[in-house]
Amino acid sequence: MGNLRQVIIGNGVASISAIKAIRQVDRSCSITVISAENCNAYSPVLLTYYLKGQISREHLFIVDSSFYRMNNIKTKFGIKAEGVDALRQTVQLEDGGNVGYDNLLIATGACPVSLVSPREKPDNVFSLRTIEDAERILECVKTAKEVVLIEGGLVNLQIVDALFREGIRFTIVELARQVLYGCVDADCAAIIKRQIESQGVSVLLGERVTGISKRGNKAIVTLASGGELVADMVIVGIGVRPDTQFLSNSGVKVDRGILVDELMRTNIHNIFAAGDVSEGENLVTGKKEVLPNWINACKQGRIAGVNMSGKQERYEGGLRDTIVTIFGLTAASVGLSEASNDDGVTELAFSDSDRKTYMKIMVADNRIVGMILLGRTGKAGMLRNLLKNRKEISTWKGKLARNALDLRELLPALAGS
Amino acid sequence: MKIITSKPDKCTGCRLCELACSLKNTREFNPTRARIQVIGFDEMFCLPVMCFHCEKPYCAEVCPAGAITVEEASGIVRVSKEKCVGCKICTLACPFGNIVFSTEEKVAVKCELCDGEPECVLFCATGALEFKEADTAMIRKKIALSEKLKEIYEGIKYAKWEI
Repeated sequence: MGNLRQVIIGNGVASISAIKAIRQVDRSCSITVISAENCNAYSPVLLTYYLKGQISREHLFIVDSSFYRMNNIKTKFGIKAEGVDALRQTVQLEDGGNVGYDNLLIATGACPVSLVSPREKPDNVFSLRTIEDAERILECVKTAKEVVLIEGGLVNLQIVDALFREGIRFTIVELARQVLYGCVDADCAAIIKRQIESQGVSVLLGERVTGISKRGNKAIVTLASGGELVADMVIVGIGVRPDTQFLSNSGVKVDRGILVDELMRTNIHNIFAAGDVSEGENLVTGKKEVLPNWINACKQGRIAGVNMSGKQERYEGGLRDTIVTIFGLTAASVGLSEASNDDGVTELAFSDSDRKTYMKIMVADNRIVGMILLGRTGKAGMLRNLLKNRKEISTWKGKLARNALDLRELLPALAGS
Repeated sequence: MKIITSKPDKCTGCRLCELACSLKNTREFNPTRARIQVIGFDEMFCLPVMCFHCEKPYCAEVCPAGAITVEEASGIVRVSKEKCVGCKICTLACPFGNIVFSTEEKVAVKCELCDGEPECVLFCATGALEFKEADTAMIRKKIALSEKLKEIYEGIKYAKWEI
């Protein structure tokens, strides 16, 4: 076992969780981490806090150099993996080198979907995914007066919150009829939109962007409805896609993300995948999908690590998990965000828009299948527990709907989870 | 490690523990800011609840800022006020609602056993709260108690539902 070569492509939280899991079982195998970025692992989740000036650059890192040293990790940072040869069991690097493996973990995460080709992209158009992106945005915002954000998703709304200050006008252009589409339902989104607008930020809904071009040192965002927006900075946040391009000739099966089984194993027995690059089973729908969130990446990474070390642990599936604070208003959403009538889902809803609190719990077969909490989210974890463990809730339904349930009452029901 | 145990048959629901906790941790007599909470179950019995200090804490596993750690010597699960950014992911991950975001302190807060001298235990007048070494026998008792609670509680709930 001592000579086993464990190789990990990617250096995010899935990768770090895998390293910890491997080292718990096996101190002597060799572990190599290959990463396109030339730095220690950091939290992309914290980038908006960095933009806000709330934390320092140092603070972004989840581990320091001593982590790699103490865990005896060979690091190949700043070198992109260009391909995987499953037959020869090697990873090809952009510098022409090869790294041989016995077990390979792909944890390359996801990259932002771009709206314009890199060649046509004006240099004041950004997406936020890496530290470098954050540095560029911080530099550009110093002189910006007009900022346009394309789509009002999770990251873009946090960016507005982070960069918001006197003297800068923000406009959010959203394709859907609501902000946070796919994260929360329309009613909750409406309260959040009002909160954003109350700060003086413009939100355009149902508006398609047809292109971004350059005019002098401005970026011009053209809209399908005919108008155009002139901006000193544009931030595109139309989503991310799993970073799988380098696998095109490898034989590893990829749908939207890399397909894995319960052991986080791909179709090739000694290649594993975890985190935002892979698909997992959605516990609520039973379907395989990419669940790009921090909680899921931690879990998948750890389980991949355990299985790579010859022990066995099964991944039970993941949830769509969101918790976000925008202009002081916190929204938590787990499981389904919007239910269609035909799948037998009933909704328990409670709303008090003056106090900016909102709660919707979606129930099917007396079990919670989705929840959205806005304002007071303190007990979101307990509801999430009920959802995740498919607990019967018929006895509390009435109280839940009136928002009269002290969730602590549920403690006995939560035991053993 | 030493943990706090609570006995529902001795708890009178006086909530002195909440006050003692909030004063020690926030310099304020404010039960809503206490890290221990007494839950009343339909006026049948009361149970003080605080962080369980899990061996593998859900909150620590998911913290993107590395702010939550298990102290090796004592087993205390701690939140670093310097590292916590207030993203609240831990509050979503804890299945028991035992870590919460404090709007006053702007960080996640939880019971940290008062560094080994829990104020709540000191002030508990009835002996419902005790601070003692967790051994197998004690853990077994705790599990038995939680099973019992579950049975009683669900019994009450179902009985009510039928009426």
